[in-house]
Amino acid sequence: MAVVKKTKVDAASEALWESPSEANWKAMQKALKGSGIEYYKIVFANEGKLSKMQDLTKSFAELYDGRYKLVTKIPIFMRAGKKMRGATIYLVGLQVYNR
Amino acid sequence: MYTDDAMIVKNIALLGHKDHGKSTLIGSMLMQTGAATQVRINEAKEYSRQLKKNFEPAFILDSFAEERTGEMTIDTTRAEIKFKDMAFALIDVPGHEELIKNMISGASYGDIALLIVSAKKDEGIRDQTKRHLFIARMLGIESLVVAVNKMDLIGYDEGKFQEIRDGLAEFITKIGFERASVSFVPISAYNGENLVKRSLNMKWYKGRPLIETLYAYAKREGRKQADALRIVTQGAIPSAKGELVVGRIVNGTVKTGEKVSVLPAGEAAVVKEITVKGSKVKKAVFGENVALRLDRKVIAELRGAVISSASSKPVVSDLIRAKILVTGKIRKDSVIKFNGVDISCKNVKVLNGISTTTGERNSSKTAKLLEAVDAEVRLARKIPIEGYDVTRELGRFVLYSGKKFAGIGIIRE
Amino acid sequence: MIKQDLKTLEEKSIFVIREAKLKFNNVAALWSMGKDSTTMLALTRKAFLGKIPFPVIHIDNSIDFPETYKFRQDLAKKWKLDLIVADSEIRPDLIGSACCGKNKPDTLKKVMDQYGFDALIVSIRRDEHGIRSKERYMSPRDKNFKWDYKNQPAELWDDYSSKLDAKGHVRVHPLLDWNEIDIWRYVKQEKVPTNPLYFSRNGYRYRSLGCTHCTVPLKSNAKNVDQIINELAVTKDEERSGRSMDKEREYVMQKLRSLGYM
Repeated sequence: MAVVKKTKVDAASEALWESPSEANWKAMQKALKGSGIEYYKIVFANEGKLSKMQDLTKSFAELYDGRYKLVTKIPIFMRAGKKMRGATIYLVGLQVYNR
Repeated sequence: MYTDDAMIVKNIALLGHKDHGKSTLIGSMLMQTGAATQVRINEAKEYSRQLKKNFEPAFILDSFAEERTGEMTIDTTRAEIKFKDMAFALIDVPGHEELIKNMISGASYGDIALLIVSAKKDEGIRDQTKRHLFIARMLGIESLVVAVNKMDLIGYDEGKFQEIRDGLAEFITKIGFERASVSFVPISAYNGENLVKRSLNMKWYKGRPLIETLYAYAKREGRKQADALRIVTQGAIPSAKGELVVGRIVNGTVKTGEKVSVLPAGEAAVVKEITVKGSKVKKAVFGENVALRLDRKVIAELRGAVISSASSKPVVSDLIRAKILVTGKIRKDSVIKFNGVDISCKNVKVLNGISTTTGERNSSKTAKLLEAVDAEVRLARKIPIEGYDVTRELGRFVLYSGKKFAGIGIIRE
Repeated sequence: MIKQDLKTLEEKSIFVIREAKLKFNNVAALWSMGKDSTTMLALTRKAFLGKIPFPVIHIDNSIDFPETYKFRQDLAKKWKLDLIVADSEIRPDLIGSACCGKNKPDTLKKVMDQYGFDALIVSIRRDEHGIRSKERYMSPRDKNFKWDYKNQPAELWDDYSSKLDAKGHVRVHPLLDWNEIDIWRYVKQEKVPTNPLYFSRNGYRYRSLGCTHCTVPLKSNAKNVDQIINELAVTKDEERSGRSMDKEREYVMQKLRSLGYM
């Protein structure tokens, strides 16, 4: 059985799920560079109906490589102190999956 | 030059009493010319169903729920249709009297007036219908098409159609429309008859369907432009080499090296540089927004000033003679709005009244609501003026009393 | 869709934009990074010798498309924009359809108060939706942002509205007369920078851009501006059909709210 080596993106993704802090988002931004990830798809929880705060925490972005192969799933929000906000700006450079 | 199949859009000011079918007409025209999207048609069907009514073409146009239920148009709306190589923007204006300012706002953009008159018993020509025509003519609209509507409800009776035509003819001429610029078309807006296609129910009508009639007028030559340069200024903007005067050419052309006069003060200057849309040009023409570098700094206020050819200047005066349509209370201390600036009045003296429903002048010395007057207006300062026929921007103003819209004025020679 | 004379449209818009700057003391413009508000900025550069002489505001709900954020960064730098990014907070009671309807206007109101803007340039077009056909080039809003559409001031002969009260402001609409297809023709003519999301990839493109939550792509093979113009010349669909509201009616109600009608 082949050993699957954990990539930088995997590590950054795990950290984000643990704590979507600004530092972890910046780390993700760095990890995305040169990772081969080219596309994102945002999946909103609760059948796309953002009706409460928790829905955003359960929503996520799927990241795909250049051949549209799913690589990982990451959150789309961040916490800065007590404030919570979206974090799609950290995905700048990627293109929408679009199908 | 950029060439694709762009169309000239002519604005059609749609006039007439409420319930005489303006919105229905627009709805039907949109459907017959294929301009209404399926979404709009479905939406209109849905609303008709919710209100438990038969399909109402008018609902394609009106978009506020309260208009749908009240079946009345509150404010100016606009719908575009294509015909041959032209496009028409139908500007629907509210019919009821208290919203006359909305009617005027809409009609002020009109190139052609389209009046709807219901032929139904007890509807016919109203005072308000005539007033709308009076206002349209006063605003400078020269062509008029009268659509005699609801012919389906009166058995397509030619006699009734002629009765309405004869009833309006004298008034229309009296308020200044040329006979050759007025047409009457019998229609049914609800059934869509004589709008785009000739109606088989009115074979006695030998003229063109409505849209062809509008098209013929739209194809006529527009108003001739006067030659002498007039630029209404909006103000000054900074540039690396000092202040530039910005404004719009409302008559004539401007060239570099041209001697001009900045009015009302009458300061003389020479045009050193002309910028249009960011590019330097030697010459700019009617309709263009320019930024001018003059050979000296102008001392006068540059908002609402006029840059005129030095050799042919408009009159500068603090006394103006004007025809005024009264839409509110005109007071001694009313204010006129003239090319973006407010100028206080010192006195407004009514010379005589003009009935907006007969076109007749009368001896009234008071400004009655929704009637017109010839008046002398004394202003707190001088302004450059010209007859409305010569330079529209220098021959018209809006009157306010405090914050209330009180009237519109047309300056005569 | 009717193609209008671009020169006429352009002159009218330049006149209105200059009027906004020279009539009011403190004007700002809303910029969503979409085709309309970017075209408005291109027109502003034409009006003011290549400069944009007022701040541009982006109401940012923090879940916009990454492509849109990228576009914002690049153009702000290229055109030296005085960009105000106003964070639109995500609150549990204001997510979903209440988002555009209540959340964004709330944020806008805060920014307007903070900077004391008395006029706001908004790039709406009459052909977007029936409701908007009632707008004027300049339309006053009171201090609560309400639009008294039933009792609008007269607007004729380039005499435009002033503010209604000290805390109110005037909305300025320089693109009111433009149709969607005219915007694209102008984008082509003037090489106006555009958000890449408008162009088709894998058979889909975005026709109207909101945030990632409320925008869905439509089937289209239009990969460049020319192809978009050709597509629009024959389409019967409405521009907003790509916004994911359940029904057109819901959209109408929401829009009414967001425009401050209700």
